[in-house]
Amino acid sequence: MKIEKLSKTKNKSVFLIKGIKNSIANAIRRSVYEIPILAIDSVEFYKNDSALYDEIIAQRLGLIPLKGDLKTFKRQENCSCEGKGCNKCIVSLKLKAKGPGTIYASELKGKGFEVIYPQMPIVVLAQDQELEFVADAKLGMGKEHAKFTPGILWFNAYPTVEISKECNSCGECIKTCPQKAISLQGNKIIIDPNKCDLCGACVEKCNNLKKAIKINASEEDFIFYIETFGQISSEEILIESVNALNENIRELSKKLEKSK
Amino acid sequence: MIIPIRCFSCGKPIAHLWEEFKKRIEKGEDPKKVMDELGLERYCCRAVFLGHVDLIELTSKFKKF
Repeated sequence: MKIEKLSKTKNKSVFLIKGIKNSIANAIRRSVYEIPILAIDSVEFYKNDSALYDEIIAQRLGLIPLKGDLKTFKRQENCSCEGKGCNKCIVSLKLKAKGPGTIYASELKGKGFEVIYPQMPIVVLAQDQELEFVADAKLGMGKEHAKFTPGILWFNAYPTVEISKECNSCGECIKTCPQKAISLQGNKIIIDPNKCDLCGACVEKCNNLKKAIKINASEEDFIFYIETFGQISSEEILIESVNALNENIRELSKKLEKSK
Repeated sequence: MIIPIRCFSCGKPIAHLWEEFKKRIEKGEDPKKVMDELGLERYCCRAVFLGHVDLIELTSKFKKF
């Protein structure tokens, strides 16, 4: 197995992973929904004069991405308080605001968390309107609710490119490629596999001319794209989803061992 | 009504980008350019921005119940 980092921006990483099976790659992708992430889960309203109903505001609050210390913090089910809820598994927040003006996520007060995007508008209040609530945030997983997802992970097969001797470097394929992955280097046509998305436009074009290009999807090399929503970094999403997958398989094998 | 916190389809947080988008569109910039610079790659997120109408300031003048 070989891993190569192709690119990294603030919230997106691209890796080339060579030598794994499609089933494993897909298992890693699905395990993103098994990573524990902090989000608001229950809200109690004391006052809400705004144009939005309590439920709508509660839903908006749940979707706001929060950063918390995920190492020491515990899931409510696994906490020493046995699911009652204590300060090891629940973060309390509150907000008190009066109009007029936009109420932003930065106005959420509490300890043990951080609002990742402070400029998110929660609601707009008119003159004399008031909003007051307390809320509880807890760790959850993407499989329970989409608000607990740390990001998106997707992959596609790495292209294997073959250009036969028939090629006369006519350059017609360069014009058809929508990804601009083909270039002429010296006298040779070069296809950049990192840019190619397997659309097959060049193959189709060349079939009418020389039948020189062959592009196939590799069955064991994959490009992984990981985009984070901000709670954890994009590399951490990949590592944590592999950890979550490991954890689940270990649990399964333990149970199987017992039932022998 | 008010800009959704996340994109309807993909779940990317987008609400924090709205005010900058609105300000720049009002200045007369091209929406395509602004969305590219804000990092809205997929057409699901872009559709949320292009189709959105801020109505909450108007509706907040009326009684809810």
